[in-house]
Amino acid sequence: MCFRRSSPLGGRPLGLQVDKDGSIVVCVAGMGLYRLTKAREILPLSVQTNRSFSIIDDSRVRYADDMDIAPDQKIYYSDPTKRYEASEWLTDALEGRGNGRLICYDPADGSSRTVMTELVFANGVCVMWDAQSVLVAETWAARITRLWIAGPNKGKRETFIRDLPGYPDNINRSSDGNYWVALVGMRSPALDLSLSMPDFRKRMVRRVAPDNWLLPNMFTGSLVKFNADGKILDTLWDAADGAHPQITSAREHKGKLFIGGIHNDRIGLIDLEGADPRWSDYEAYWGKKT
Amino acid sequence: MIGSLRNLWDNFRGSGAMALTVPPMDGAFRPNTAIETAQVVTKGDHRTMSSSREEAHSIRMARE
Repeated sequence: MCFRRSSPLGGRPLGLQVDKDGSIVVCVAGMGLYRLTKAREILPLSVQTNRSFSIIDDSRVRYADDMDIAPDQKIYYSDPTKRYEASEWLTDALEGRGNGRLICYDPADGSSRTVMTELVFANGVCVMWDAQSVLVAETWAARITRLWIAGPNKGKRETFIRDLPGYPDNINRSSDGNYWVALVGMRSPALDLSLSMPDFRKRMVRRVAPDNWLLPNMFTGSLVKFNADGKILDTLWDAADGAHPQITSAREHKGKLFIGGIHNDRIGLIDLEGADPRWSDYEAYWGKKT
Repeated sequence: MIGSLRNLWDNFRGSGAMALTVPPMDGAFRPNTAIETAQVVTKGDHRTMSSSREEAHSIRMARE
């Protein structure tokens, strides 16, 4: 196995996907959506979207987080919060409002527009296998929301999985036609209760030092596999003192699952029993390389 | 209309979308050690990690 240092992007790269031409499309926190070509050129694709009716100009993409590419080459990416920077995720969690949005970048005309708003920390994005809809993980709401992008339901928004036991992060396809979602942390009754009490949280952030704020449990997470009907099929667990705490993303490749966490300094590998050893994410999206 | 009424009812009763209950950890959620025992294939450089913007920000916040 060989690893090679690639081009410096200048920001903090998060979700990424290999495009049909072999270039890498990557979300960079604090910057936007960028393309890294095979010649190692860095091209900005989308750094702002259409402004909403808000008094404050919210057109700038603050925190591009995760993305996926539809078969028509449109790129859907999430901006978890239009009020805070990446380092202020805890403030957004305690605010618990729909500050997130899903943005669609159309390479045909280079335009970007917001296609879904009011998302509670829009995080992982995945175009479903049938390319009829996009899944978006709403982290602090512990749910996954679906937006139909084609077919008779085009434009319709619905809750796909509600009431997850943890906070969903990145979503990716699995080789057996299902999906993997990383739960970055597990819910606790105390924080759940506080999220239904905005006055309590307001008093807390005003009167208590940030070190003592109620914090989401972000030390134990898991990987959950679900199918196209939103049914949970399997779960892989971790522990706070394990080799891979706080898993935020998982990607399957040739019968193995590569796992990583935003604060981890390592990549892990899990052998998946019964998974197709020839399956590659690239070919699942774009077919055989020519 | 029905959706709004359902939301109001759920908000009053704490049910449906407004429920605070964590789902039971049975069935597909049963515990295992798959991630704990996962192989480590690459490990980062701690000096590079600590120079990241977010960590620098946390250190600054802690100092303040």
